[in-house]
Amino acid sequence: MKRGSNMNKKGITKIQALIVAIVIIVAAVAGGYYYYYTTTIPKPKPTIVIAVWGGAWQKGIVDGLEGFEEAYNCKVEYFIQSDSMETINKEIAEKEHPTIDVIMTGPGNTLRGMAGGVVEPVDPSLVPNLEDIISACKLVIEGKVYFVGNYFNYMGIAIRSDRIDASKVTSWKWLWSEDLYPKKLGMPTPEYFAPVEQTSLTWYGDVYHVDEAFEKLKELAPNIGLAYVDDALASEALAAGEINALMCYNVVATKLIKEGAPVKFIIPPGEKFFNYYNGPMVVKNGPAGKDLQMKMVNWLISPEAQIKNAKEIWSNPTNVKVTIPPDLAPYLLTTEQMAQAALLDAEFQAAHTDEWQERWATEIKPLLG
Amino acid sequence: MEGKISVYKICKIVVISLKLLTVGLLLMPPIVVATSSFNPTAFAPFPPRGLSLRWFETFFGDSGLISGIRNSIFFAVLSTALSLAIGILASFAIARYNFKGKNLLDALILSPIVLPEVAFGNALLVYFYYLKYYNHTIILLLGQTIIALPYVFRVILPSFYGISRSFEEAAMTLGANEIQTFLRITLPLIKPGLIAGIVLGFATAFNNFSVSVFLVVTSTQTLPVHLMGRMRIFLDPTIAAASTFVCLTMVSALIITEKLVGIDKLITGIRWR
Repeated sequence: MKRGSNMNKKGITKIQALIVAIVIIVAAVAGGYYYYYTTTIPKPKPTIVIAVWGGAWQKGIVDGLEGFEEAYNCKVEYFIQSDSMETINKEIAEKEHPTIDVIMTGPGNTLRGMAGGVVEPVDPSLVPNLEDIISACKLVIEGKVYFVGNYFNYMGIAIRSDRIDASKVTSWKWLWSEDLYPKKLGMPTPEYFAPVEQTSLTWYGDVYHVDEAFEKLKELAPNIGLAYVDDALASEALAAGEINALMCYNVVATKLIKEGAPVKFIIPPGEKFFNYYNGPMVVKNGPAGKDLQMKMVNWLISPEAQIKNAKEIWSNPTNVKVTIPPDLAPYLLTTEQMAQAALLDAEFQAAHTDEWQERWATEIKPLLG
Repeated sequence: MEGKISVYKICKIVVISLKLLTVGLLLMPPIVVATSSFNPTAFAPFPPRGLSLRWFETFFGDSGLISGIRNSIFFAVLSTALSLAIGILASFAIARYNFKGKNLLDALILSPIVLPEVAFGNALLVYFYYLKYYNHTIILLLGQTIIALPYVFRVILPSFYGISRSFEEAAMTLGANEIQTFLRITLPLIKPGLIAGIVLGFATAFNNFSVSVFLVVTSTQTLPVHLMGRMRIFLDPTIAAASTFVCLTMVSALIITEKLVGIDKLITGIRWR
């Protein structure tokens, strides 16, 4: 007797046929994708990858890069990052084979990237616009420019204008007042952005009085209802009314104001405020090649790109040749305000950020409840 | 007697209240997210003060989000299929045979559950770069498969234990070989476990962030990684619109499957009416 001859040979059911068909289709699609992604078919245009923050930050860069693809016959891909230090850490891990060409970040993280060996100095011969950038917005180490900023961020106080009388906010020291008691103030943590520097500036005139600043932060603790590490949390808390005021930098307030929220952004007149600059950091041995990477940096720091970026995020350009359009001027720092800005000491910040995070966790966080 | 009836009624009310509370707690987050996606303003009060489709417009116009969904579905389907294949074979071996290292194999397959995913993702990236292997599609696929495999395996293994060997022995007595027995007897009997494994494996892979964040590049960026990048910057309802779209798609697929085939029949082979 033949083996299997007694088996019921009705054939497969409709459902079994459907399942087999689906498996075959999925396998065919998967095989097609695998072939597409892994064969050595040359791409028609070189691709350059830039890591950007999402939302308005991305749109500002996308607007600024308008025309770049056509000018250099290339394709720009955007890698959405949450924290640029995470992206830099990823590139440090991928040092032998980077996947990103340019990372939008700040000078402090650039210093950490330099320690990881992934930063390419900006080549002045390939980036002629470099000479038009404010010197305070260049990170220069031993004569080489390792980072150049294409916009300023600056600290201010965002308030709910329907709950706080804006005329009361005449000084940074107002944050320590009873108007924000209890727990009606949002503060960034050192992990994110500059509470120690701004406190030191407010009470002692420079960013170097760190121990004294921590004592002042302890006094401020009863007012702090939110210690935040990202923009979204801060803006959501202010919009929802969980807090009435926020120590933040300008972009956090910009989006809320543009969306019609009852928010005002105030820089106390005549007082120093902490400022920071962001810009493109070039990844060493990036897949697009040094030439295209430098062309992208040159494009981003050009006056035209900086104006387009400024229109989206309301941050001051860093190129001296920029002419601010009249419709944009009310939303940017004035010349007088620029004079109040405290210059960033990137090396001091990078050297102490970890220590400040530790001190915040042990000295301030337990007081917040 | 009347006292006993009162106690019964009270217990009934308590049980019904607990049921409603549980259902409410489970349903409230998706309801809030779905209503937020129709909010006309970026800062989304609840309940929304008006209705608008602007965030769906932003969502469909965001190529990054659309490619994120496409990549997530692609990698989730493939990694589920891979983990299903490995899980079925491993479960069959462990359930049916005794061999050296059986318990070790069981523990190894389940070990990704106890490993911190962040450490695992970083280790995987460093490992493949040490081997000078740079195909990010394959690396991400492997990462998601390893994460989904324990869940698929853990659901399928009890199904094998639940089948009496007498079915398989009877089939072989009647002339079926091992492969025919496995395909025509064993597999249909473990179908409920297979369906559950597919659902769990797909959900695990689709939702994965901690491993994927290390392994993605621009072309393979998955939806959770892309959403996290947006969420840390500004929490506008575009994210809610994306979530609503994905949920509606899944629910629609379930409804279509029920109408065409019947989910109960798909799982148990019986159409319950």
